[in-house]
Amino acid sequence: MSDQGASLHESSVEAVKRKAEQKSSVLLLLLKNKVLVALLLLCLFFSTATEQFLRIDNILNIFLQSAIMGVVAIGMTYVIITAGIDLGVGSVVAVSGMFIAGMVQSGMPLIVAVLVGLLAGTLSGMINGFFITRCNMAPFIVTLGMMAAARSVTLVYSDAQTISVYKDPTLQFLRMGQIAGIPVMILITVVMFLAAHYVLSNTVFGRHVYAIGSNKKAAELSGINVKRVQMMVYVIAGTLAGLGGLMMTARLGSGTPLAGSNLELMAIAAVVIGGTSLSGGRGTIFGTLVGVLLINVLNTGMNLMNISSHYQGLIMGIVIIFAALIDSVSNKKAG
Amino acid sequence: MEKAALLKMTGISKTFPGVKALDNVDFSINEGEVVGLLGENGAGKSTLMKILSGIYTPDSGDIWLEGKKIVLRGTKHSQRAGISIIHQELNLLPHLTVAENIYIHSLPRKGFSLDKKRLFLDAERLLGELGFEINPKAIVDDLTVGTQQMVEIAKALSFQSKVIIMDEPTSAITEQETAKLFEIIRSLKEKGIAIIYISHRMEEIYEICDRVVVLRDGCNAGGGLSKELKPDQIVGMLVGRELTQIFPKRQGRVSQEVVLEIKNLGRKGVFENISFQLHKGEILGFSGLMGSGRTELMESIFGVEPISSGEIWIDGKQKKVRSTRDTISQGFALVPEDRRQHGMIGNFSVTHNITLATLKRFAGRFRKVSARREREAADRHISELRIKSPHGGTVITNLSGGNQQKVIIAKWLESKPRILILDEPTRGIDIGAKSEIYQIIQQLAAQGTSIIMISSELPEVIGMSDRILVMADGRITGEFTREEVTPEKIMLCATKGGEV
Amino acid sequence: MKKIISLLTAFALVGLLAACSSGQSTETGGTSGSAPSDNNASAGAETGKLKIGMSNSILSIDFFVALKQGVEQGAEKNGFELIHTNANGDAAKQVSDIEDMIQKGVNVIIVNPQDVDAIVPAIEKANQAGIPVIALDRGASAGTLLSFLETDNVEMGRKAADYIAEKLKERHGDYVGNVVELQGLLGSTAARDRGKGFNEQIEQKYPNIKIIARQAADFNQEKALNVMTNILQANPQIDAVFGHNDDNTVGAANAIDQAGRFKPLEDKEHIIIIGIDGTRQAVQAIKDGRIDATISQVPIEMGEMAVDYVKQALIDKKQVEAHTYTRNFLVTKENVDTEKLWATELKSN
Repeated sequence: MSDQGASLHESSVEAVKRKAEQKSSVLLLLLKNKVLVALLLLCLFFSTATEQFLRIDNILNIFLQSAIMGVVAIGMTYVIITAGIDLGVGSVVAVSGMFIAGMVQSGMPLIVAVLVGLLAGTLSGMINGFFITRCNMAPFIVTLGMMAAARSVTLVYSDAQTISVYKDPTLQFLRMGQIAGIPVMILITVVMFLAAHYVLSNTVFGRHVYAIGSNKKAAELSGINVKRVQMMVYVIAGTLAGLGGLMMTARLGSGTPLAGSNLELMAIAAVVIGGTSLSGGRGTIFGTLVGVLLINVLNTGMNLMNISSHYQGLIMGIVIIFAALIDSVSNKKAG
Repeated sequence: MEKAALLKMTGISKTFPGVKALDNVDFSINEGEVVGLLGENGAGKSTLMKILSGIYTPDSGDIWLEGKKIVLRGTKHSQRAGISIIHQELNLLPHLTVAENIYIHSLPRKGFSLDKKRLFLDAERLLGELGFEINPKAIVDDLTVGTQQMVEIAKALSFQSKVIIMDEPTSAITEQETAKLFEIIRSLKEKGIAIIYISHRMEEIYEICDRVVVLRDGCNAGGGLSKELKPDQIVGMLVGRELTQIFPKRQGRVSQEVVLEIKNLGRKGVFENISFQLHKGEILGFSGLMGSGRTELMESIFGVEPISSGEIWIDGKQKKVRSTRDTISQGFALVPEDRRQHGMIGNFSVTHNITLATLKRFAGRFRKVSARREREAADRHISELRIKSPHGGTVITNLSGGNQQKVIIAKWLESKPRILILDEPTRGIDIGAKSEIYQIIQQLAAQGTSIIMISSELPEVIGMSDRILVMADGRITGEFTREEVTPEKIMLCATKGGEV
Repeated sequence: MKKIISLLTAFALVGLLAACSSGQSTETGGTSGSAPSDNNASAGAETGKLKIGMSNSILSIDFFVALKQGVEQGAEKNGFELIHTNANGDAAKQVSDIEDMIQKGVNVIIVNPQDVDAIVPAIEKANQAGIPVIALDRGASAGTLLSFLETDNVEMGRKAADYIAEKLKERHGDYVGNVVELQGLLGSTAARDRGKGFNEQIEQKYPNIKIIARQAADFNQEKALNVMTNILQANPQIDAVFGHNDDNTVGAANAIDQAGRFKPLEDKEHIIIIGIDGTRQAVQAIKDGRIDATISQVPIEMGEMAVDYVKQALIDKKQVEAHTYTRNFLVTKENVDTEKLWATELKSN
C-alpha cells in the first residue's frame, strides 16, 4: 500500500520534472552545467572589464584559438571516459604537423601530405592501443612513452628546424579563409564537435565507451569487445591529434618541432573542467567544449585586460582547480 | 522493560531526498543477547545500522547506551562508544598483516617507528583469548573469506566493543566456517557482548538469534523471541503477506535434446576433467562450497577465461570459444555472481543496463540507437519482471539488490538466450524478490531455455533444479536427480571430494 | 545546498580575476594610464596615448626579461602605454597573444618571436590590420616588419673563437688545444649562428685547435652540468669550453668544479670558459674567477631602441632602419667592474 503511494509520488515528481524540462530547457541546462554558468560569468566579467571582449572579431578570435585544443580535447574525452589517458597527443600534433610541413615543402601535393599527417596520428593511436589492450599496460605509462618518442621523431625528422610552408595556398586558406564569414578552422572544429557528440551519445560505440569506463568487467561479460573499443578510442585520439597537427601547421604557417608542448595537459584540464571523470564512465562532448572555451576565454580575457604574464599562470591554475571543484561539488551527492 | 537495555533506540526517523528511509523505529538489545534484524532490501536495516555506527545522523529519535543518552558523531566516535560494525564487504587492508589490520586504528609506536614486537604480541594475545587460530603475521589477502571475517571480529573486539553489528556475515563463507562463526558468537554472548545479526537466511536466524526484529518499509513490522515464532509468521512480517510457496511448481517437461555438452574441460590449477550435458529446458543446479571452482568453470564456458584442455559442444557441434562474443552469438547468457562488480554498469540507467548486451539491435541508420525502442523494451521488462523502479531512466544503483538482479536478468532476456547461466542468482536478495526470481527461472525453463544455476543455498538448489551436479576442488564429485537428492548427500560430496 | 556552493565558487573565481586585474595596474608602473581605447590602430597615434603591445616568447630567461625591461623603460620615458604578453615558449600561444593584441587595438607591436617561421601568420595578421611590427632578437621569415633588431650571433661566435685562440696561444705558444663546444637548443637560430661563427673561425683561422666534443646542452644549466660531467670523464685533457650561452658555461663550470678539475686562472691546467649573453650569474662567476669571459649583449638597450624607433616612425613620421645589429662586447675580469652591463641594470624581480 505504502509502496504504491511512494511510486505514485515519484512518478508525479518525474512528471513535474519533465514538464519543467519542456518549459525551460535553457534554465535546466544552466542548472545542470555549473561550469557553463562559470563560463558565462567569466564572459560577463570580461565584457564589462574590457570594451573589446564582446566584439564579433574577438569572439571569433577566441573560437579560433580554441580550435586546436578543442579537436585534441575531443579525442581526450573519449579516452578519459574509458578511464584511460593520452599524454602523447601534444607530441603527436607536432609530428603530424611536421610531416605535413615537410612533405608540402618538398613539393608533394597537400592532400597526400595531409593524409600522411592524419595517418601518423592514427598510427600513434594504434601503437598506444596495442600496448594498452594487448600487453595490459597502464595508459599513463604507454602514452607517456609516446609523448617522449613522438617529440623525438619531430626533432629527427626536421633536424630540429622549423619548416616553413607559409606560402602554400591551401594551408593559407585553412589559416585565413572564411566561409560565410566564419573562419574555416572554426568550421572544422564545430563539425568535429558535432560528429563526436553524435557518436558518443547516439551510437552503439558511444554507449560501449561509457560502459567500459564505468565497469570494464561487466562490459566484457555483456559481450562488448572491450579491447576493440579501447583500441578505437586511442585511434580516435591519435587521428584527431593528427588533424590538430594539420591545423597547427596551417595556423603557424610552418611545422615546428616544439609545437603542442603541454597541449595534452591543457586538453586534459579542459576535459575535466567539462565534467568528465578521470576515473571514467562519465562525461560529455558538450562539457569538453565548455571546458575548452573556458580556458581560452580566460587566456584572451587576461591578455585584453593586460594582466601581467607573471600572474596569468597562477590565475589559470586556480581557475582550473575551481572549475573542476564546481563539478565535483555538484556531483558529490548525485551518485 | 524490566531491566534497562544495553542499547536502546527510540523513535528513529531518517529522510533522504525523496525517500523516508526510517519512520519512528524502535530497537533495543540487552547484554549477551543476539538479535536478528530482518527486513527485505530497502526496508531500512542498513540505514538503521549506519545510524548506529555513526555514518548517518537521525533526523529525530534518541539513542541510549547503558542508560545514558548519546549522540554519535562519526564512525570513530561510535567505535569509541563501543559499537562496531562488520560489513558484508569486509573492510580489511589486503596487503597488510592480520595484526596490523586489527590495530590499524591505534598502531603501537616506538618513537617514530612502528613497534612491531608489541603489535604482534598484542594481536597474538587477543586472537588467543578468542580462540582463533590465526597467525597474526599472515597477510590478509592470503586468508579465506571466513578467516578474514574472524579478523574483522577480532578488530571489533580490540575496541572493547559492547555491541557488534554483523551484516550478512555468512553470505560469503562455507558451512564449516559458518559453524565456527556461530561458536564464536555464542562465546561472545557469554562474555556479555550484544550482537545484532543481519541475515536473509531463516535457518541461521533460528539457530543463533534469541530474538528477531523485523523492519518493513522503514517501520517496525513486528518481532519476538525466535523460538516462539514460526517461519511463515516471520515471512509474513517481512513481506506483509503470507508466502505459501517459495519454490514454484515445476511446469513442463525436460526434453532429451542436448544443447550443450562439456567434455573433459580443464583449466590449469582451477578445475579439471569436467564433463556434463545440458538438456533443452532443463534447470541444472551446481552445488558445492565456495572456491570449489564452479564460478571459474562457468566463466570458461562463457568465454571469459581460456581453457587449457577439453571440448565444448553446442547442438552436437564442437565450438571454439575465444571470447564472450562467441558464446553470446550462440545464445549464451551469464548472470554473474558479483552483481555490482561484474553484472551491472553502476552509473547507467535501468534502460541502458537492459539494452547493454543487445544494443546493436536497437541501432538504426548511422548506427543511431533508437531511444524510443530502448525505452519500449525496458518498459516491457520492467513490467513483466515487476522491477520496482520509478522509471527506466533511474540509475541502477538506486534500486534494491533484488531489483538490480532482475535488471541484469532482463538484459539477458532481451537477447533471448538458449542457455542461461545464473551464478548465485539470489545472493543478498530479500525473500519476496527471491521468490519472483525463482518464478522467472521456472518460466524460462518451461519455455525451453536451458538453465545452469550455481547456488550455495541448499534449499534453493534442491528446490529449483531438475538435476544437481556437486563440485569440490575443481572436479565434479556427485550427480543427483531431483528425486534422489538430499542435503546430506550434497554436503557429503561437497566436503569430501573424490569418490561419489 | 550544493548549487549554492558551486555558484559561490563561480563568483569567487570571477572575484579573484577582478582582484588580480586591479593589482596589475601598478605592475606596469606609470605606463598604464586609462587611455581611451581606439579601434583604429593607425589613428591611435594622433588621437591619444600611443599603445604598444609587446609579445615575449618566454620570461624564464633573464635576457628576455631584459628586453621587456628595455621596452618598459622606453615606453615610460616617452609616455606610451604598454600591453605585455608572455607565450611561455609556445609558438601557438604567441600567435594567439598577438591576435588578442590586435583585438585590443594596439598601435604597434614589438615582438620577440619564439620561432622565425611560426610567427609569420601573426605578423601577417598585424600587417592586415595595419599595425606595424618590430621584431627583437629573432626575426620573421616572411611578413613585413617595420624594423628588426638583433645581435650578430655569428660575430659573437667568432669573437669567442678568437678569445679562446689567443688564450691558448698564451699558454702553448701556438694556436693549439682541445676545446669543448656546448651547443644551445638545437633548432634555435641562436645556437645555429653562434655555432656557425665559432666553428668557421676555428676552421679557417686556427686549424690546429681541436673541437674534441660537441654536445647539445639546450641553453640549460642543469643539462650543461650533466653533459659536461660526461665529457670530463671521457676527456682527460681539456683546454677550453665554449658555451652557446652563459647558462651552458655556468653549468659547465659547476661540472668542472665537481669533477675536481678546477684550477685557478694562472694555472696551466685551468680550463678556459667563455659563454655568450652576459647574464648575472656569468658576471658573478667572472668576478669570482670561475669563468673567464662572456660576450655580453645589450638587451635593455635593444628594447629601448625599439621604442625609439616606434617614436620616430609613428610620431616623428621618419624612416627607421629596417635592420639593426645592436652592440656586443667581451667581458672579462679586467672590465667586469667598469663596463656598463645589462646584468647589473636588470631590476631584480
